[in-house]
Amino acid sequence: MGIALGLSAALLLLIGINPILAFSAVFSGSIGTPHGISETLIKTTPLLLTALAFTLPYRAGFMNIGGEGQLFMGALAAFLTSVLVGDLPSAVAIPLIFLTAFLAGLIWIILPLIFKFKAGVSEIFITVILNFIAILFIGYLTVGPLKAPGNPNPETVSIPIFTELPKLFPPLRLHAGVFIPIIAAFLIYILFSRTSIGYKIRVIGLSSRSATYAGIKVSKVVVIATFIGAGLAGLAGAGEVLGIHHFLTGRLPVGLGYTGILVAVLGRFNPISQIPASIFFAAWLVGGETMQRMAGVPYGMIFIIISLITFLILATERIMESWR
Amino acid sequence: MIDISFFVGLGSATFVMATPILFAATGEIYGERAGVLNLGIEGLMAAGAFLSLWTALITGSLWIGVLAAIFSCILLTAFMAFLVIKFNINQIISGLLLVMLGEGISLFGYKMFYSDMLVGINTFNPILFGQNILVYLALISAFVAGIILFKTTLGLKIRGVGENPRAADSLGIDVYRTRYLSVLFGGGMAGLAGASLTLGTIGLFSGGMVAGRGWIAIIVVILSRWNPFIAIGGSLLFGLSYALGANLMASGVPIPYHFLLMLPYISAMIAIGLVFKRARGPASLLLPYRRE
Repeated sequence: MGIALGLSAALLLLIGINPILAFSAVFSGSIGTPHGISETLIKTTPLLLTALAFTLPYRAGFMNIGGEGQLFMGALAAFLTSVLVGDLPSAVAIPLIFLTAFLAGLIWIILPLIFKFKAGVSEIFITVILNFIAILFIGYLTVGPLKAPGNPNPETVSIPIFTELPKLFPPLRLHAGVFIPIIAAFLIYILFSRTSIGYKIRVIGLSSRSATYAGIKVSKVVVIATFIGAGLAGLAGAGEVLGIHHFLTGRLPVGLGYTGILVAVLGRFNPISQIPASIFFAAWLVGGETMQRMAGVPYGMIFIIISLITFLILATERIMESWR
Repeated sequence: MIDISFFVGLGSATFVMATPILFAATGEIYGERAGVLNLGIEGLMAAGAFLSLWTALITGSLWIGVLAAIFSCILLTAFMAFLVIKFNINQIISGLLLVMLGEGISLFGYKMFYSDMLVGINTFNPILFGQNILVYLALISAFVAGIILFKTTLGLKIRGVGENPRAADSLGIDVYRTRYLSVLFGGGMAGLAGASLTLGTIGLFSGGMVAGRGWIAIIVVILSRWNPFIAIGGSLLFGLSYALGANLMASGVPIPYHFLLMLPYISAMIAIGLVFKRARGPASLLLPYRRE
């Protein structure tokens, strides 16, 4: 991490920006104030969910690069359900909305699964392609049929107030949805360590062939793990709509799904270690906005820094292993 | 309107749109033939697209812009190749990291140096049949790459390292060196692909302009069965799907442009579903090599 910061600092110096100023802006914007902490925790929610959405299939040998698209489809389903549910009490409406978002994420992974098991096509390409298609589809809806009349932005009308997630400390934007990924992380940890399906996933992850010899129906287990993962990415989309924007926007932050994969890598594919890893990356993403505003360093710098950090942590681990 | 001139324009645009895909696919074939998958093409192309345009604007020379893209993408790829070949880090995850690194560089540089200028640049002039030199360079390089891969000792070494590195090693071929050089060549070609996206087309850069072309190039590699000659046809196919979307949009057909932009992705899924099952890659693709 020191090396990554050093490299980034050198890059900033090279273009004439004081790295200390830039990094202190990142720090103060992310964890230096109550507002910053609230924003960081809000950002943690989709990151941790998409990290889990990568982890669960990954442990069963399936590369779900489609968290981004599943997040967008979950956001769409959440918006549609919350507009259509009518006058249900919040306690019924909100779980129902999250359920449909989960299903929307799950539906978005069916095609890659069919391609993989029926035609032997690598899921990497189909999931990436579906990300592009999902983003374009939401883009179309928010400038076309779902666009709010009179609004110049690519946005829909607002969802009913009773389907919004309650704020924990108003006026801070921190909403009740932040607990969802934490609960999910613990549930998945229990799934891995205490259940037979979790055990089967681990066996398949170690060797798909020996799992077959052991009588495990490999494709069935992979499908279950992948469905749960994709559904979690759908929940991330619902969290963005119900907790933050309160409408569907064509400008949902792009890249959360991909950053989630880095969180999974940094958290060594362990659901519990991904909690601190997601807070760490969320702090960088949120602090990056402050850095752009206060130090004039464009936001893209954050993606350079976090990919360098992940690269170097992976390399350091390998070096330490080889010394042992 | 859709008339004869529409199809003439479409044919011409197909070659322009196929050029970046063909450069990237040709380079990627070398890396994969040597056993290393570089999933980072999308990010490399983004970095190359921005850096080539920016350098060309500063220096006033298109060719220096092209060289800057090539060298910076080789450098970025070297970083990944080192981790993958030296430390056996998962090739898929390294590739995704490279995508993010490259896109970060292009977004950062764009905002930092370019967005205020909002100026275009005079791109490469047409030299023959209304196409610029990069179009011909892409076709020639794929052709030459194919000859080298299948007709020379160097090509045999690269294929050997990708099929059976242990046997290649026992024949005295330096597996690591061959892999490094092949992957770095692929990185440089991805930079060239990025440069052709800006300096070979409109002379402007915008965020998200690579629009999946890096991923499509990797799909072309599979569809063409790791053969640069076939990759020419594959790139033209996807060049057509990008050109069709863009030209239909310009012709004013009443289809929402979002759906026109989906054309390459949908055609990629159809093509991959039809051909993938019969495609068999180099035997040691994705597998690290350790000398004993």
